[in-house]
Amino acid sequence: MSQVTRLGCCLPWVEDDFDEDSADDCVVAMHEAHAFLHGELSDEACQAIRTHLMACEACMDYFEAEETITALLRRCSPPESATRVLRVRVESMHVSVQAA
Amino acid sequence: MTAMITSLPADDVAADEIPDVRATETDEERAARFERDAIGYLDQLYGAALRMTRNPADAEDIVQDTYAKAFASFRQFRPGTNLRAWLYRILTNTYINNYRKARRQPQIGPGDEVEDWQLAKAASHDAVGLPSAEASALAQISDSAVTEALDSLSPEFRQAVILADIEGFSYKQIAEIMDTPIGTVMSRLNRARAALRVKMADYAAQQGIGRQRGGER
Repeated sequence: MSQVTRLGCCLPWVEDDFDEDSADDCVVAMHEAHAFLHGELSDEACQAIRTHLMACEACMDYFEAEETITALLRRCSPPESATRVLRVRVESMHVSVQAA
Repeated sequence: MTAMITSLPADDVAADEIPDVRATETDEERAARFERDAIGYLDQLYGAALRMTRNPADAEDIVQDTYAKAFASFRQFRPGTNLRAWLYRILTNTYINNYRKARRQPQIGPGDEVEDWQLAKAASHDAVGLPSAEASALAQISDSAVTEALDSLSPEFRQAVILADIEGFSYKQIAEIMDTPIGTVMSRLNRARAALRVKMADYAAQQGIGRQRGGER
């Protein structure tokens, strides 16, 4: 049962009041999800997506999952420090080039 | 030219206001400028190299190569433009070239052939076959599963994800770093993220995360 509810947004034929426009909105929202989350869309396009997300739980879930994946990627990529050896090698590089 | 200025990114506009010292500086002055401006990115570049190679020794080699190449061609870098992106571009080229050299024929990794059905699956609301609250199910998967999913991507796909999601570069900067049209960046990101999503959802399912007690799906 929950499956039907969850898919309702993108499988419009399970909805009584099927509205082709709202299905198109889902396609647009999902296509632009990453550009939206990466801050690459215009204000206008962002607003259109936000408006759709407020009305479409399934798309909201999708966006939240994508945002979670980004957070996971960052969690697993803490800042690193170059080793002293590497730092010395890189810092002394131009000296040796000049000496040559 | 004036008409074009407005369409240029902020970095380039700023570059116009910064005097170009390259024509007048001595080799020593350029070396000093390199040390002052470029060495500061060492930790960041090493971190990125480590994420690409997953191997400290390889990461050190790539970073050292990168700095050697950057120093040798520093005269070509226009002061005031994005030095970080310029260094990442050299790093990316070095990594991709080394990778290609290491495997004589470009290997088609699992991430290279993101099948259309995977894309369709990831782009559908039934993306992962998990019960609702998919985000919280994903959030529970282990770090090693995340790393493994990222590592399963081809170098180009992984690089796009690293640059966008971890290093925070804009699509335009990524296009410059990877030397591809911006459309390719978007397509790589979409496909890479679709593959990641399917993989991570598989891990979540394997680890039994997100399945409800009643077994209803």
